[in-house]
Order: sequence, then structure tokens, then C-alpha cells
Amino acid sequence: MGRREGHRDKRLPGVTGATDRVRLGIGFAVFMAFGWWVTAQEPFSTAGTVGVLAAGIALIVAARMTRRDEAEPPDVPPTGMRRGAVLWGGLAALAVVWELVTLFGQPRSEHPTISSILDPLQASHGFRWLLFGGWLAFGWSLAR
Amino acid sequence: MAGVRLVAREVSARTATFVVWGVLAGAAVALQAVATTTHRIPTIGQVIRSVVRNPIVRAVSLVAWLWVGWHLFVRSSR
Repeated sequence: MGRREGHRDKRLPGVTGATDRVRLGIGFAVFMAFGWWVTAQEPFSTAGTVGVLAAGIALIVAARMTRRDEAEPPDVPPTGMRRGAVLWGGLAALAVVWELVTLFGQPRSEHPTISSILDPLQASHGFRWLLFGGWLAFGWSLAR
Repeated sequence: MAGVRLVAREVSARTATFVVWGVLAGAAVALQAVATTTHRIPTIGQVIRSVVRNPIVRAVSLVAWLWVGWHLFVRSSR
């Protein structure tokens, strides 16, 4: 038949069927509702810090509790995996180096870091909330 | 005249910074597109999943991820 057991959805790590997708959707909606409140907190506030940590730790726990041991082999040959690791690793290293170059460059307005580029966008509560959703999704993929 | 040169240099520094960020972002999009369409190299998701299979790497990554969350949503000025 050529299909793996469990009809695993390749797009979402650890999600196998319709029921799982519904649960994932409900869970994500709950986290995003909480995120609306978290992203409305003042900078450096205790409530904001506790909110981000609580959301992050709850997400890690949820991801680990619902994790399945389904090692899906990537459809890439081993040589491709090595080449890809070099390419992606090199790109990540370049990004880190450039972030450090800009971080130590002055003035900040002339050497913007990723954070300082995002700062004006972060003035919008809606943008912060969407960014929170992206942060959650990335954390989910790490924790699974 | 010196002031004009100084302004030109500062503008070019800012522009160069954005250009480098743009090139890096473009390279990432291009790599992802090649990975998705050809399957000759892994996507960023496949690389991350293979890396975080190691529990120590996963733990360090999750701590870094929590810090990024704090940095983005608590520390950032707005």
C-alpha cells in the first residue's frame, strides 16, 4: 500500500488522526487565549514573566505527555542529511555571527539586531500575539 | 562636506545590516524550497527533529526557547 501505519500527518509532528488534530486545535486555542493576556502585560512585569514561563512549561509538559514514539525516517538519503546539516548549520552560524556583529555595533539604530528590528512591530498587540503563536508552535516542535 | 560623508556612511551601515539580514532570510527560504521540492536535503523541520532527538540538546534548546519567549514578550521595549 506504501503508506505508513497510523496514517501519520507529516505536517504536524506527533499528530496522527482527526481526533488528535481536534485536540491539538483546542489546546492551541486555549494557549492562544492565554497568550492574548500574556502579550498585553507591561514590559518587565512579574505577571508577564510568570505568564510566559507558565505557558512555556505547560506546553513542554503537554508535548511530552502526548508524545508518541514514532520515529519517522525522513525521505532524504543519508548523504543528503549530512549535506543539509552542513548547509543549515552554516546558515545558522552565519546568522549568529551577524547577530553578534550587530549586537556589539553602535549605535543600535545603524546596526539593528533581530530584536531591534522587531521592536517597532511589537508595538502592535496583534503582532505580539501572532508572534506568541509562532513561538508556541516552534516550542511544540522542539518538545515533541 | 565631512558631515555629508558621515551621514552617507551611517546610512550605508544601516542599509548593509538590513541587506545581510535579507540575504540570510532569502537563503533560508531558498534552502527550504529546495528541500521541500527535491527531497535531496532535509527541511529545517527535519534537521531540528533529528537534532533534538538527543535529550541533552533538547533540554538546552527548550531552555533557550523559554529565554527567547521571555526576551520577546517581557523584555522587549514597546
